[in-house]
Amino acid sequence: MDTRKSQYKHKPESVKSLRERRRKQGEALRKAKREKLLSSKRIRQTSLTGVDEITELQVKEACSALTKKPESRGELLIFLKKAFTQGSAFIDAFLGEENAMTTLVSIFTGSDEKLQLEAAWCLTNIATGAEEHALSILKHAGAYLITFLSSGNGPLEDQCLWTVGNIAANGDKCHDMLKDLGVVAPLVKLLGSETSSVVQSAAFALSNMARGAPTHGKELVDSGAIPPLVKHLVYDEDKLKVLAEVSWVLAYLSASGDYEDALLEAGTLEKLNSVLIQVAKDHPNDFEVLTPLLRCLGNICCGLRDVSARACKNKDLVPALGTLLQSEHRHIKKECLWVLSNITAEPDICQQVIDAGILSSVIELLKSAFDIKRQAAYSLCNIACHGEAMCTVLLNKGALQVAVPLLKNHDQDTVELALNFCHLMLSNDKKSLEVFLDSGGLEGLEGLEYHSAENIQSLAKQILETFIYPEQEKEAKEKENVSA
Amino acid sequence: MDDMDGMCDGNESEPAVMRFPFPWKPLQRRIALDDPFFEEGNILCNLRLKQISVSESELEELVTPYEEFSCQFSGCNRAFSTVVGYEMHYNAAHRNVCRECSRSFPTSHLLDVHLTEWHDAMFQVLAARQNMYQCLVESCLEKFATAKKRKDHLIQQHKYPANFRFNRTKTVARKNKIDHSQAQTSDSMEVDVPTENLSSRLTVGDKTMDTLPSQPPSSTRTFIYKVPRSIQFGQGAQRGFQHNRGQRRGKHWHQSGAQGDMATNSMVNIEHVPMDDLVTALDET
Repeated sequence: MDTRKSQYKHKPESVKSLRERRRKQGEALRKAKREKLLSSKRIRQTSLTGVDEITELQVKEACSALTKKPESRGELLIFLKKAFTQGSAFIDAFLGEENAMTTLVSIFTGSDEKLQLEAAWCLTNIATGAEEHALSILKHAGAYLITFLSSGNGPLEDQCLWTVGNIAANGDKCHDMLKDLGVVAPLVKLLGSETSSVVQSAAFALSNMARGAPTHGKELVDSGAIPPLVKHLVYDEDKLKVLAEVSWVLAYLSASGDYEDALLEAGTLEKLNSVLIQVAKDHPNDFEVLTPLLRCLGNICCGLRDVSARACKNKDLVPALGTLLQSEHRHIKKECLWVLSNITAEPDICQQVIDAGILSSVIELLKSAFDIKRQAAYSLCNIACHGEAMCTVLLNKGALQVAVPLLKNHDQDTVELALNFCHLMLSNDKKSLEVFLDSGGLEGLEGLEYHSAENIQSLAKQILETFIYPEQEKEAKEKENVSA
Repeated sequence: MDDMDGMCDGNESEPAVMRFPFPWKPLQRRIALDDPFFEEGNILCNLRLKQISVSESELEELVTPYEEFSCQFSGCNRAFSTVVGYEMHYNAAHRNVCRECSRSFPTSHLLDVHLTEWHDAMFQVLAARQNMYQCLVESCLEKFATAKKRKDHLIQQHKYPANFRFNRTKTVARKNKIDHSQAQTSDSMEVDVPTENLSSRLTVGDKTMDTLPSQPPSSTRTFIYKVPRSIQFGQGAQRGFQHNRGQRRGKHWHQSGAQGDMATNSMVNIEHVPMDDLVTALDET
């Protein structure tokens, strides 16, 4: 048997190595899929994108026809732009053909505007490929893309913006080349366009430029991007998509923490609040708009001390957040709780939270999935540390009763948060002890005394020693006195 | 402090490290947008955004097809059937047009630069004393003493291509514009240049003072990075392919020659093909 096997070309692989290879392939596929889900490039499809099979041979033929048959360029470009949406293989085939790219660029810079637009659309879809595809575009057509951004030709500007946005998503090298080409200034200028689709695309391009290294945001801010962006933070039923895109840019800028002053000066906070309140009222489930707005607010409020107080000068903000806690989308609940946890760091706001009647929702969410639990716990801890009055309210709302079972949770962060919460309640409100013990607090703590994580162990022990044992000793003494 | 998914390993041998301040202090957390905390939201939003589709008709907004009308600009006879098609053409071809030399530019900024540098008498005077050639990138405020220096800056600093078509001498660009439909796909995007314009390309190193207003200012040197065909290095030693350098000028070798009308006009009326030579040839056999 073995002699026959050795006559085969490939050494037969052992089962183990085959399995290993399969596993790696599976991992690579999953990783690629996940990257695709998270990538911020956008393919521009037409409604006519059919299910026709496109072959590589067809793409190559189209490339040569592009140079040789000028009359059929229109349909060839339409065919090519569809082909590019179907994957990098076709883009590679296209770029591999001699002169294909240069022909495309000459059409792009030519005098037939219809063909120009189709060529630009092709470039948009090429840019959704790999980094080297985007670099190829920049090398051949980068300067023209930037020039046409100031052309005043709406549809062309729009298409060039898509291309720039997709290129910018391809990593630092592309981003730096775009910056060198001088892309930021025209992008900012286009935010003032009359056409809302152009504004939307410009914001898309800017948001991809702002991502990546933390210094990227600086270029935008230095080019004066913030005021025109803030100008679009208004509620308009028909322009929600523009609002979403603009909020994304601001969300990226606020996440870095370096542009607090510029953002606040431009009045971002106030406008953000009013628009958030409006959207929460009229479109509470439109997560496309709500997600960037929430993230922007959450990160802005991490800044200077009184930012949250400023934010909550608008009395409708906290109730709006309360509405969002009931969202049908998990991540909105989670992110809204995070925002809440950031603003409850300030004592005055906690009172607003209580007044708005949100506490019960927060406590309820303590029973939800692990990541939502955690965020709720952060908020409660922040509220509880502001003194006795707060803790009394929390106690009355039943927060402690829900928190104690969390001591048995297997997520370590949750346990530590719960421990902290219990500690706060016990420290601030004498009445908590009884409730604590009734809810099974003692067992919970004792279960943690030998926890694998040292910090949990020591926390548990500290609570026991500070509150439980003294109490137990007191009770024991009283019993003695009684019996004596 | 970023939020972490999943559990962290306990460090049994090290002293207790609290994740959170103990006793608790009000905690604010700034989280980056690509943190795993936001992953769920990111995926959802991306999925929704990626389904952006544009129907063909959206591009032709004012799609009411009128009866064909033609462009009103003098000399242009393009025809259109939609308003937006005409608008686009007008913006691209006629809005930023130089009145002196009728070249068209894609943006008003490039037109301004052109007007200043080519049709402003003061420019040459000032350029002699200070750096007047401004960078073509609007956000870059640098100025240069010569057009070549500016071009080098564009290439090095701003990664422009060497053959950027809106930074060329007049004749080459004009040819490109008009002959677009017949553009060859060579790397330099140059089209066959008829012989009469060749002389204007010989300005490398020349500083001819021309009186024609349409000639580029004398101190502007053409910076064609592909050597023009008429320039020869050395003593004019015969080199292969010297005449054409791979680019055809006019007829192919087998089309030229004593073949009468058929040489210059390849469109043949089949009725009038002279068959005399065929007749004589047949007669001879």
